[in-house]
Amino acid sequence: MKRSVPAGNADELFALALQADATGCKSLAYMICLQITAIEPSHPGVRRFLNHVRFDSRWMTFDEAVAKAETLLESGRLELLLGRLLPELMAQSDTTARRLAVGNLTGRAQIQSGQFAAAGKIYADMSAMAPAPACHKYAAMAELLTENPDGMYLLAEPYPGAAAILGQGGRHLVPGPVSLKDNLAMEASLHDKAAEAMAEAIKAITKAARNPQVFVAAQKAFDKADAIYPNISRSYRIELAAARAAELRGQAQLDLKAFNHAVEALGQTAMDAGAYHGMLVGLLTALEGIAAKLVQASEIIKPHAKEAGDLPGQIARDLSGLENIRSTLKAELHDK
Amino acid sequence: MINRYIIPAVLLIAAPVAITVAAESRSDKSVELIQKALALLESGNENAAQQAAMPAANAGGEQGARAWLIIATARYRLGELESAIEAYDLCRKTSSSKTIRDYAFDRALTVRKEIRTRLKPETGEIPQDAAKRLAKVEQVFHFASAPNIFVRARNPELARVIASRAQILLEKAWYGLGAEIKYPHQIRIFVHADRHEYAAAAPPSPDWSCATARVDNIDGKLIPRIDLTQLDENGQFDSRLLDRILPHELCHLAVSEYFGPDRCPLFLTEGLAMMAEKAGDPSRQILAGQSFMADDATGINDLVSQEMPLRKPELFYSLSYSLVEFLHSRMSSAQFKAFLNHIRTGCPFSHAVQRAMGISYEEGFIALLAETWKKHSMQQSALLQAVQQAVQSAGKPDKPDAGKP
Repeated sequence: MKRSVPAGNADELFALALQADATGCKSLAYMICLQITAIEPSHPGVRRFLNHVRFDSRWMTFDEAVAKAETLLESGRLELLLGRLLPELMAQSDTTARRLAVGNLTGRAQIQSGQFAAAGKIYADMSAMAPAPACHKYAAMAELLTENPDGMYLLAEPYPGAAAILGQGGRHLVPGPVSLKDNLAMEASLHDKAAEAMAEAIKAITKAARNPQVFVAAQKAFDKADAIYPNISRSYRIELAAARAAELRGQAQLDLKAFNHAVEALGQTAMDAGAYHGMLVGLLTALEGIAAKLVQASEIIKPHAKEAGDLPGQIARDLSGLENIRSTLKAELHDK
Repeated sequence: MINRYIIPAVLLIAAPVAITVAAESRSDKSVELIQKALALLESGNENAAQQAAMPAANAGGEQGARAWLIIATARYRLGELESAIEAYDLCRKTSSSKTIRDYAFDRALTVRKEIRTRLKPETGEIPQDAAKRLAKVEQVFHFASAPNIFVRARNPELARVIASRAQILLEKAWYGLGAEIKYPHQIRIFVHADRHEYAAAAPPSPDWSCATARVDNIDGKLIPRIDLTQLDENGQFDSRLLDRILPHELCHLAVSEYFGPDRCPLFLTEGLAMMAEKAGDPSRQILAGQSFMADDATGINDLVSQEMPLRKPELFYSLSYSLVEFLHSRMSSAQFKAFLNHIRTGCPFSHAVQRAMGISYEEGFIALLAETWKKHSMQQSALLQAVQQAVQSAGKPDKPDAGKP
């Protein structure tokens, strides 16, 4: 049923819109407010409700204003951006996602205008607000700007690395002092921060293969590093996964040896039917435990199956072999 | 009476605020200067970058140290090496940041080495009178030693020269690999007068061989050993001995110790040893480039995984040298050491290169690397052939290039 907007002055209509919103009729409330803007374009309550932003004598939607902000940033019109548009946008940011988007624009604008320390504070606030893993990147940027309040970063190696070794075209930075105003320099500095974030995890890969807690901690460290610089940890994740999967497979093989000893012992001891049944159940349980380790290994190596050589195939064959043993045991259990 | 206190009270309140505002203003000014200098440096205006950074440098403190770093970089890029070192030293002395101090220290060291290399280019040639003295073979053995070297030779001067030079070359190779501890053995170097004496004393080796390096296990103790030949087939002092053969064999021993037995891939063992030679042989690079042009080169994956040069050994060694030289030329010293360390810890070649260069791992990288290496090799080969032809047509005797140590 089509609803029509009742006539009336703007304030009364706005009150109606708020009522509609409060009762869950959000789209009706939105429609009423849009209608009000035709009667009274500058009604502040209505515009706030619609998340509209006023800039350059024009009202625009939040997303339009963000796009305008990007344009101003690219064209270097920072005073206008920082002095007028961004404060308006921030006032209208009613969700965490919007606050983060505006915060990021503000930070970038402040960096471009040389206000590095202020930008550092913005990113520190954002890292407290943002969920993981995004918070890690903001925290890294806050750290960089706090450590380098003059916006100068010391690059130790050429960046990007691929350009240096492959001689690719496009811009690259040589080692030495660079400005964080330069997007490529900021990218390079985040690369270094990401490398720092995963340094301890890299050293612990061998330990992580044997210790599930260290393994989880290493994965988290790699997640953090990848949040700061996408995919930086990939080679190490592959190594970690292969090492952990191989360790689990090794444990499964040891357990299987013990299992086989127990099976051999079965036929050598006299026992009544109940005891035999109990033994079979025990063996099946042990087999489930062995299979669980192999399944875990398989899950760990699955994302990196292409790079893991024959390990996924070996685990699959082990599981298939276990399945044959399980079928035999189950058949025996069923018969008895 | 109240009026007497108003002005001092106002001053007391205003003073801290004024000081803070002044400090912030100085700091803002300093940031502005640093940023201006960096922009000029990035755009290649090194002189202007120096001028822009100087007021901040003269202001002292941490900002001053950072400004000195910009000035040092600008001077280095202008080729003003001595004054670049001065600026790096000033940066190091005034900075409270360990990262900055360490960087400035390393840079000053690197630039000093660069100056020394430029002043004393290595020609790999031995003066005639020295060659005559070193060709003398006495009946008795003479001995000389250095901390990690023990030499036995039939020429006292040769024994001393080899001992001192071998120590320097060993340390260069050892620390160049990235080792952080001292080389733990004493290497025994036996210099045999000629091929007959060498063949009798050294392990079975091809006819063309005149030097070997090996590690003997004597009563459970590892004793590295090098056997060398003093004279060439013409009875003259072998001019390759000090600048090519000795560094080559020492590098083999350093690599063997650093990587552990059987853990360094063959292409890398041989590539590093050939790179250690002071006066490189351009024929290797020429052969490598020619094989690419003729589509006869071993693929990179096969090259890095070969344990023995089964097919065309000469080509294998040339390609090995070419690949290792290419990687070394494209990586910084720290990156190359990181690459070696990754290989040492069992990392596959493609992963090791990408990790060392800080590149996020991609399967397709190795194909791009192979293509870039191929182009590099062909260009080098063409250039070296052109140089050789030019030298030959000028009527001068052909000499090996200095090449990379």
